[in-house]
Amino acid sequence: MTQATAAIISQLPLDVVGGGERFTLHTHRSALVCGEVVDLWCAAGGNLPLEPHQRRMTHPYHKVSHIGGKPVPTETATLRDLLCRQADYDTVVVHQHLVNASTLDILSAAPSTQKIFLTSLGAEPISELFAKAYEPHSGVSIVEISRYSAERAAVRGMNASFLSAGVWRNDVVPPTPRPVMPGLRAIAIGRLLPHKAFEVAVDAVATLNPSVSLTIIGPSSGDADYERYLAALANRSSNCRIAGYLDDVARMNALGHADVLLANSAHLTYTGKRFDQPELLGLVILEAIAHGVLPIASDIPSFREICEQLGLEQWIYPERNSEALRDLLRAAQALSPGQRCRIVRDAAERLAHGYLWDDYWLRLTSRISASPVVLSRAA
Amino acid sequence: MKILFVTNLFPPHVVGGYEMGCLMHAQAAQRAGHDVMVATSLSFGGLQKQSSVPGVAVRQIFEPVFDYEFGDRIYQRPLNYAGPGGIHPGNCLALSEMIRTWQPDAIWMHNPLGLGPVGILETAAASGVPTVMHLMDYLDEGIRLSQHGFELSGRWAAAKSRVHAIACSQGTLEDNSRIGRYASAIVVPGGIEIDTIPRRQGDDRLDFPVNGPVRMVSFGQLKSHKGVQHVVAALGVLRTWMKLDVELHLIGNCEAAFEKNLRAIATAARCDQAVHWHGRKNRNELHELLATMHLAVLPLNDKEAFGYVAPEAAIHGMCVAIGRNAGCSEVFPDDYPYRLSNRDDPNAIAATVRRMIMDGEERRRWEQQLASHIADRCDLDRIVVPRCLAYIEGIAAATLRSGASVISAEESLDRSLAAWQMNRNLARLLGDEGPAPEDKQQRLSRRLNRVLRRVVPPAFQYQIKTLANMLRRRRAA
Repeated sequence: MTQATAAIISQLPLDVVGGGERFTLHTHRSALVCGEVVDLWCAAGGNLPLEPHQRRMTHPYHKVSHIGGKPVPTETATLRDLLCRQADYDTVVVHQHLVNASTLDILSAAPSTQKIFLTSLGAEPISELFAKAYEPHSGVSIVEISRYSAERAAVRGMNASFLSAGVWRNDVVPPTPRPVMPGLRAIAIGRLLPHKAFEVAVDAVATLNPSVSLTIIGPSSGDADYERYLAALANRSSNCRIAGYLDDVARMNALGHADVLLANSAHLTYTGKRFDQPELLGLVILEAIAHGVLPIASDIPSFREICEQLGLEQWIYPERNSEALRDLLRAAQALSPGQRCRIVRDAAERLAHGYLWDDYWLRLTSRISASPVVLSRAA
Repeated sequence: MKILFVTNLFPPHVVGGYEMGCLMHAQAAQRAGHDVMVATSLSFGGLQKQSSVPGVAVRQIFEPVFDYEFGDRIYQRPLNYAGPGGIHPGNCLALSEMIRTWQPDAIWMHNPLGLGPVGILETAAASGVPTVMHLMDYLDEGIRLSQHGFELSGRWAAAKSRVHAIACSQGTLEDNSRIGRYASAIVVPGGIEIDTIPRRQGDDRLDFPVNGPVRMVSFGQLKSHKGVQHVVAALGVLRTWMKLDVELHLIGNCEAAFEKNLRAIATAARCDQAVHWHGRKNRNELHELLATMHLAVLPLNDKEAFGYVAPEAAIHGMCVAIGRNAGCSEVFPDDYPYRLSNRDDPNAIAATVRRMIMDGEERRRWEQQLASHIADRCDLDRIVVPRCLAYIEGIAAATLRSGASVISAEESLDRSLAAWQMNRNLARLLGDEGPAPEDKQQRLSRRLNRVLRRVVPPAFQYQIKTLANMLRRRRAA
């Protein structure tokens, strides 16, 4: 068996399906596609973020295989064993690096010729400790997944750059004008979490004429209050439906049959709770374009970044503003299939510049096209 | 060639063979016409066993972070916590600066333990100067046991793969290949300054049975891991059970507590009158005393990387009962009959000594052969150092051909300092500094041991330990 030259270590388990976990699995696949022999490691569940050294060293990590299906652990090692074996790799990529203090153990255990890349994918329980304890040096690069994410890291004093990816070239379906249908089929995809603000979409669609419909697809998040609240809202309207969890194929099939995707994430939830960062990238927008679907997104920094890159600025509405969303839905409905197709096709062409998984690993490790974000520590 | 020696302790500060070996190599390299500089640590008064440093340029540039005299007191200081097995930033900087200013052609590293060995080896490897580690101890084990508050074994392995090694025995090389491997390695036995040892010739040779007792010697560091207690117990077996007139001469440093134990063991074995204590002697006095001895018993343990004492005794023209798996056993002839089958067993030691005494003809044959056999392998100036220097010169030439280091010295230093700082920051922020507190079981065990040591007589403790060893061996068998 060929000795792996690189490792991807996720500080969160990979047995749940979320945006961050998908990003890690796609990164692994990208490395393999680029010809790198790479091991994928992930923390087993239950590792507390801040523990003394001796306990950290006993944290279990799984080596996983996921090609052709769900991630399956093939080997288990303690952090101490993993740190010893880490020296065998030329390159180590740490995902979710702000989840556990053991990221700093990984950094200090890196031999002097090893390259390390850190990418946080949203979970940040130790961000404050990391900012205090981390010492930058030439072997470590913090590469976030969007400009917005890199700017946030820079505010914490991290010298971060960014590289995005979201779709495979083969998954980009060239959009074709669809037959004229009387209504507008909207879809919203994501885990049923308050910061996804599905209620804004429901509110917007509910008062439109019945020819506009909304389907919400996403697994339960465990927030029963929000799910009850959302179900009650959807039940009050005849043109809104919650489809729940669908597997990848069914989800993409449903997406392919929609006319518009609604990405509504917001800093403020239905209860008034404020989120520091509802989204770091917006994979769902990229997937929608790949499937020929026009995205309409809330004006949060990461969504705006993508929409501006792809020439979709006019399809952004102020976050939590259902009135503005309703206007955009009316505008989308007013477009002819050909017009809608042209907008999506233009966006799809721009996807090839900086959003493909196919060359993500090469872009990451060669660091040619990563864009640095320069912000002073004071900022 | 300009050769920079790097080692944690250097004479006049001595713990054991490693320091003396380093001194002998430095002096011999100088005698061979090389320009020599020794970079070592600021050492402690109590370790000063010699009056001066004999004729070698020494720079005490390193901070000592492990105190051999007082155990761990120094390395528990916050700044030095990573010294025994990790990175000590001050020492990395000192070595880097020394290399930059003195510009050696080769680095001949001896014992980096206690200097922040991972950082020292990485700094040497990154300097681009060909580096050879002289292995005379089990460094990997020392590194492994010192990973507290950090885990840098992988870095140690990675740095090892970029330097070369000379091991004083095959066993030492194998034990130093547990955490990664060196880029290349050879085995060169420990060197002995043959000319300084008086060799018995023809009629000078002592013979026995004689009128009077057989004089048996054990010398060097008189410590429990050298097996001296087993020799004392074996003396009892020889005298009381085998009815042989044998006396034991002990030459060397012995801590008061251990001496008390040895005396108790001798009293219990009814041989205390036959044990002669000579204390520490300088080299001339030692050789004079050894010249009067009949045979040596040195049950060096399996972890003894080399053990200069056994070949030295052989050069004196004595037969030596030696530990079968000690490093020096490799330089004795394959068919040498006085290897101890079990160095922990006084009965086995006594049986071997009895064979040496009773089988006069074979013993005499070995006494005549052994000195020249050992000299052909361990002569410092004629064999050992020329082989080491030829190896180092070969590596230096190959390094020149292959070009510069894969990473710049500055970058390596930067990364070492960052790693040290991150470990420090993390420990401070998590309140995780210092050694782990004892758990209930450890505390209980420590207290019980203390009580037992006070209450149970040392001789009885020794018998219990011997019995336990025997049972453990039987179970293992």
